[in-house]
Amino acid sequence: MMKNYIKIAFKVMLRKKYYTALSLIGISFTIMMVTVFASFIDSVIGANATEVNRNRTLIFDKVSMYKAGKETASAPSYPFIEKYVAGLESTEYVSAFTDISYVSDVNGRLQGHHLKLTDENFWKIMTFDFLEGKPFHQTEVKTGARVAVITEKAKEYFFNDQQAVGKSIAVYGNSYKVIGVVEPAVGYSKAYADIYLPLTTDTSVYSKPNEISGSYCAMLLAKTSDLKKVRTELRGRMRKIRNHVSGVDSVKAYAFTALEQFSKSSSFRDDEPEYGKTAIALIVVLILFMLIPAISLINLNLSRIGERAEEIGIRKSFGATSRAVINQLVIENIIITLVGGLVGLGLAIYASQLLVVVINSFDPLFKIPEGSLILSWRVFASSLFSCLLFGLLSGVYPAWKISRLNVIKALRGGNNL
Amino acid sequence: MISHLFKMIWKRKGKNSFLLLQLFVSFLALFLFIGLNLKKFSNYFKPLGYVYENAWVLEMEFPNATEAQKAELIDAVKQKLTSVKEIETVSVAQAIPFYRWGKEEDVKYKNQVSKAMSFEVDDNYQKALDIKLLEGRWFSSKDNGAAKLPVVITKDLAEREFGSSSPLGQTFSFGETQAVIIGVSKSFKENTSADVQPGFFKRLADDKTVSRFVLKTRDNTDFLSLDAKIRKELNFPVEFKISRNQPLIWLKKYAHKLDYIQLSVALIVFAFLVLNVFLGVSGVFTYNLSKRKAEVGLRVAMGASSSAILKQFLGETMVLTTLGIVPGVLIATQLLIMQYFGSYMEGYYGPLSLILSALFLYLLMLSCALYPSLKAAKVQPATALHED
Repeated sequence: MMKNYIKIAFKVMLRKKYYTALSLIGISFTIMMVTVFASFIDSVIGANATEVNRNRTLIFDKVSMYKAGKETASAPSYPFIEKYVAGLESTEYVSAFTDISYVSDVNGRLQGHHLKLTDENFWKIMTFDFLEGKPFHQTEVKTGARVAVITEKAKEYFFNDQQAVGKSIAVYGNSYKVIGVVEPAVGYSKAYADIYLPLTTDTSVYSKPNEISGSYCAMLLAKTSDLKKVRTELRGRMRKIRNHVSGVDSVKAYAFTALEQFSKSSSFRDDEPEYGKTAIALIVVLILFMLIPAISLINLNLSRIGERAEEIGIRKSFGATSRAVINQLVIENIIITLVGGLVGLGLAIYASQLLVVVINSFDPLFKIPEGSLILSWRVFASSLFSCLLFGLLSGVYPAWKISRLNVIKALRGGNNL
Repeated sequence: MISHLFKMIWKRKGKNSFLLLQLFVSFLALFLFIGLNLKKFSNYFKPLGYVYENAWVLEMEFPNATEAQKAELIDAVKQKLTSVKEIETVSVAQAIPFYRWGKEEDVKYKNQVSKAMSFEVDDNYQKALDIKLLEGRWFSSKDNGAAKLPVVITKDLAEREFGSSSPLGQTFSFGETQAVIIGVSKSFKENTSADVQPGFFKRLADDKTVSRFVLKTRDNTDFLSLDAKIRKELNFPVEFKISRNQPLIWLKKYAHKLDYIQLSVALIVFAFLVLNVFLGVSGVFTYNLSKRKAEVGLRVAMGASSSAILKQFLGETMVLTTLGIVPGVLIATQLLIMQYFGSYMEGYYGPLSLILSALFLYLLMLSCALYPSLKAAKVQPATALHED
């Protein structure tokens, strides 16, 4: 039966090529948009080759300080992280980092670089592929050794195709010895940078050892997936330092996973991520994306009911139930959406690259890598799911309508709805 | 004529119901898109109120210095920078366009409290950014020891508080400070896409140590050598750090990157939705009109000209569009009255985006209907009536 349905679906598609083309263009563009949208969100929140433990990695990038009832919030300083956040029992590793930018000029070629000042634990939380050399270790971070790990892109810029390890690069007037070359991480993730340096190479990092606010960010890799434990422990530590830190009455620290931070972005409160709100915002966007094309397709299908009237009339007069007719037509519609969806997925690969090019054209110095929007299996699955949803959404009503055809009138032919 | 068109559409209401739904949803989507972007878009065409092309931003830190030492150091920085021949003006400021904006203050004038931005800057700021004065003067060393803080207000604040009368010499207060207006400048806005906010420039207090500088350069095209030159010039025995040393055009680029990305993504989504509506509706029109060949044939046979046929179909499209967007317009008006979108659609931007989206939809529907209607108008009555 299924085989027949598929056969008929393709026959119908080929019969009126103009309308088929209209539907296919609409569907494939819709799926393309949904796929690019999904892959963007995935690159912001999902685990990828570098950040395998993203679901149990907490980002701590904000402290709220209360003094006389007044709240001030800022990023924490490195001494604060080192003193009060590092070494939580429920975490495997805690790493601190900060992002700065630097523009260099090699042989007259200007290039912006994202620098990441970080510590040795960064390399344990992230899984980088080392093409050459190795990461920096505790001793190098402790002594503030001027060493650097660079990405393949930076290596190409500084040294062309020659070996980079052992050579040195100049950053802000200081010379750093390259000790490792890594594959670049996904753009829009916490791991992304062009050049990684030990944070102690910044000599002012300890200049205000008692200051809470600074410009650092901590990454906490939990031992288990029970993130509540980490948060409770962190809160406990913050409670302990109440009234101990000069100038503030109490301190609150917030640590969230990438997913939680993403769902927090729609609300202004810090305490809890509001999944509901974000989900509603996402659903509204998705409906806007899907509803208009879906109604377009319903319209096209509805106006073409007359074409199929005779065929359906014959099927019904030989005893087919309305249900069977509905099934056939919905399956037909799903097949056409799947065909359009496959085309859309193909288009999405090009569209996401195009989007990166567009984004880069606004800032020629600081380019994000081309492979930043990758189609992971999660994205693929969500596109497939939206294809099915789209097919159901646009197929059920016309199918129901056609199944209610009056057999006699249908057999007599003509457009009679 | 119109009532006749209504009647014809009403007779086909079952068939048109999804088309109407499509129009309704598209109208709402269009309204949201235009409304949320219109104000920002129109901001691009408003002048900034300053010249940023030649400006340079330098930010320094003296982590271990006391306040008194800092004041000395900042004076030394000023001295050293003035000696660089590429640098025309050296100014110390808290507010820098595209980077750090002013502070919001509660301004009290004649017992009325309202909000305004305050920009804490020094005497050279006007020259450094070429801010045009409409009235009065900028503050200078003449104001040393003045009883009331001298301020220069922007045109927008002058219009809001003083209307058409001259604000020069008037006083107002913010916080504990009494201020006297000595000048009026053009509007001053944060960046190209920002809303124009009323604000005022207040003179940087002598005892305040701010180590953020706005420099006016003669030529900053070769910024790498200028960067090196400034770094070379600034040498102090105490610990210091240059945390930012860049031309303002770069900061502008960073500040606008997100804006441009947002706008281009919105445009892509918009184009996609329009394309979808266009494809769907033109398909339906083509199909429907091809099914009405007999009707057209009859009219032509009775002596209707092809322009009359065209007029009928386009008129039908207009009536259909109107029916489709009426509920959308009602909902949108309701949202506007509730001020649901806040500052995005305040003032005339709300009604304007409503009208624009309706107009756009009419045009889109006409463009969908034009080709099938033209084809229908050219039908030969003999062939048309011959069919079934």
